[in-house]
Amino acid sequence: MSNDATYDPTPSNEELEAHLQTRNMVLNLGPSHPATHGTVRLRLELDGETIVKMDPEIGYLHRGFQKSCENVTWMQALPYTDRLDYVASLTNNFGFLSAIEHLMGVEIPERAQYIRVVGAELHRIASHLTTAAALGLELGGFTAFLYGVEARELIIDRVTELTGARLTTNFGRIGGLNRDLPPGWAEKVLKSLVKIEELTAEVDGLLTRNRIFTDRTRGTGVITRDDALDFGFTGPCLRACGVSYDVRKATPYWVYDRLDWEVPVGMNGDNFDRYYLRILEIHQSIKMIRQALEQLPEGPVIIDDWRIVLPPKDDVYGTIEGLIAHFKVVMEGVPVPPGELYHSTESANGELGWYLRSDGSGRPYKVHVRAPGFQILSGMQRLCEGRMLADLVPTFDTINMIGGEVEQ
Amino acid sequence: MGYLLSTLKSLYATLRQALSKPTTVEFPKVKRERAPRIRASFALTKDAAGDENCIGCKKCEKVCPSEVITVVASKKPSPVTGKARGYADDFTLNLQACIICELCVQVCPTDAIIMVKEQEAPGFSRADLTLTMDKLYKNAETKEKWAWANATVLGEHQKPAEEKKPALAPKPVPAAAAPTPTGAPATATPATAPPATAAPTAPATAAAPATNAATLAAARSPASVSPPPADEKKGGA
Ligand code: SF4
Ligand code: SF4
Repeated sequence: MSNDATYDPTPSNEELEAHLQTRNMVLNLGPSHPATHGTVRLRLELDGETIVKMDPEIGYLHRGFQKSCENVTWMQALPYTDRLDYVASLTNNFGFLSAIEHLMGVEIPERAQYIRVVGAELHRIASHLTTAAALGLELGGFTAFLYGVEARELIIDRVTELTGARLTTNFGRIGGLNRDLPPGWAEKVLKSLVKIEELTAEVDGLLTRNRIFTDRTRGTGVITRDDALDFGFTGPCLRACGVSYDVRKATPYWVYDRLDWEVPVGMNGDNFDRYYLRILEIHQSIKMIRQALEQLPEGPVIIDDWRIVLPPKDDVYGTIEGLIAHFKVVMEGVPVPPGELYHSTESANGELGWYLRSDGSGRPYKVHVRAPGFQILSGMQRLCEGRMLADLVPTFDTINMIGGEVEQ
Repeated sequence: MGYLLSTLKSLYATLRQALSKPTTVEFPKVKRERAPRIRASFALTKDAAGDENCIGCKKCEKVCPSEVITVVASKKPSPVTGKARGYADDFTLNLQACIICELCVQVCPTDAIIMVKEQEAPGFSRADLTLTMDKLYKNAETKEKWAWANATVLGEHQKPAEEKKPALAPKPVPAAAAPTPTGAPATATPATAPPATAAPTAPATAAAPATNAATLAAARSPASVSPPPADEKKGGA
């Protein structure tokens, strides 16, 4: 009873200042969220607005690419590669073909090499434009996005004229290309490039010096150079940290060593650097396409070996050798000698590596893709943890994860 | 200050865009011209005498990565010449899973299956998307004016502007040459070659059987190959 007499209902100071017991909140971003390019689920643990833990979960776009390749001939696997990085399918097509050609020891004609450079760079511009302009969209600048898409549409038009399809190009054959350039195409590309330059400058002008944009991108999504190397980053994400590594320069393939261009390098490894690096790379790619079209030599676009390429139609009709060669290439596939190799090319997002293994039959024994997006996505935690939730979406844009290539 | 300047700049860009011509077209009213090489749907062809070109060799069935082609082949006398040869009794192409990769068109030895530029109309059931043999032969009539790619044309696209290759003997790269009228793309001097005049040759294929007649014997005759109509005006738009 005496206790009652001393009971004081007003809380003490300690009680008032005690830590409020809260729990971290778990938030699912995705799998289908407008900001997740491709289908990926991010499991976020939030403390207020700060991301404590991030867990990317992939598997929503898994199509069994690697396994499918084992059941078809080398040539039939080519259309599957369109669907890896579907924003820049020509770089995949040509990278895969290039790996097969290395395994076979085939040298493709010079003209085909130049056209491959032009095609790959066109699609690199398209991919970079999408990423850079969409970053504006992500941060509320819709105008810049529309300029970017307009420029990308020009590229897609040119690609359609060249290949016959907007995105799923299936262009190129083992030993070269399945088609030469259409008449007048080079001029059209040069004209489009002028317009693309203008539109890129428009995106650049709207975003790069925009105060709101820079406030939101500078110093967010930072990764250090060492961390980036540890995680296996390649492409623009690595170069933005200050590492000058580009497969096109490090181990030049096709005719990249004959062109005059530079590798832009960033400093801080933040969102802004990744964005601006892409703008700079667009200009380098435009430069490369101009040079390649200028130097474009005459000649065939595919090698002349009937064991590898389909014989010309009049030989199929007219000669028994042609008929048999046609039958063998179609029915048995291209005879890739037994062996294995790793070959990489630079795709829009980084080093696109192919580990191929052949057992001498017409089909791949194993095709493994080192998709640049996979390593980058695995390092995503380092970019986001301990930072604000609002910066996650722009960060996710600048690393440009493409669902199709991450999940083969 | 920075905020104000950049806001003004964006406003200026918006205003400029609002007053300029739109970049898009209003789709149902205006239809953009399709690229000459567009891949959309398929057709089966008949030769000049009305005989089916398909010999039922099943190469297309074999090469299709999605395995959507089914050919039932048999040997029977031709209704036109009376000689026995291979035919496809049934030919189905399931467009639902077709990835429009064009490999089947490229391997067909007789130019029987061709690509057309016009898509199939959307349907109400799954069956509408299955191209049966009847539909494929009908496509060749109704969509013939769009037909552009058979295996011969695709082969021509690989060749340099001028070539004559002796069978089997690999030959060094032919030197630069003037574009021939075979539709092999002019490479170095397209600016001087007037694409505008080349374009009207494309509708020549509209005369329906012309393309089919060209299959076996006259595979290389220039008439069989229509140069893709160059759409100049889209150039820098
Ligand atoms: S275009 Fe369609 S039907 Fe032809 S091979 Fe490719 S997937 Fe098969
Ligand atoms: S369409 Fe051509 S490839 Fe297919 S079965 Fe007929 S002839 Fe052979």
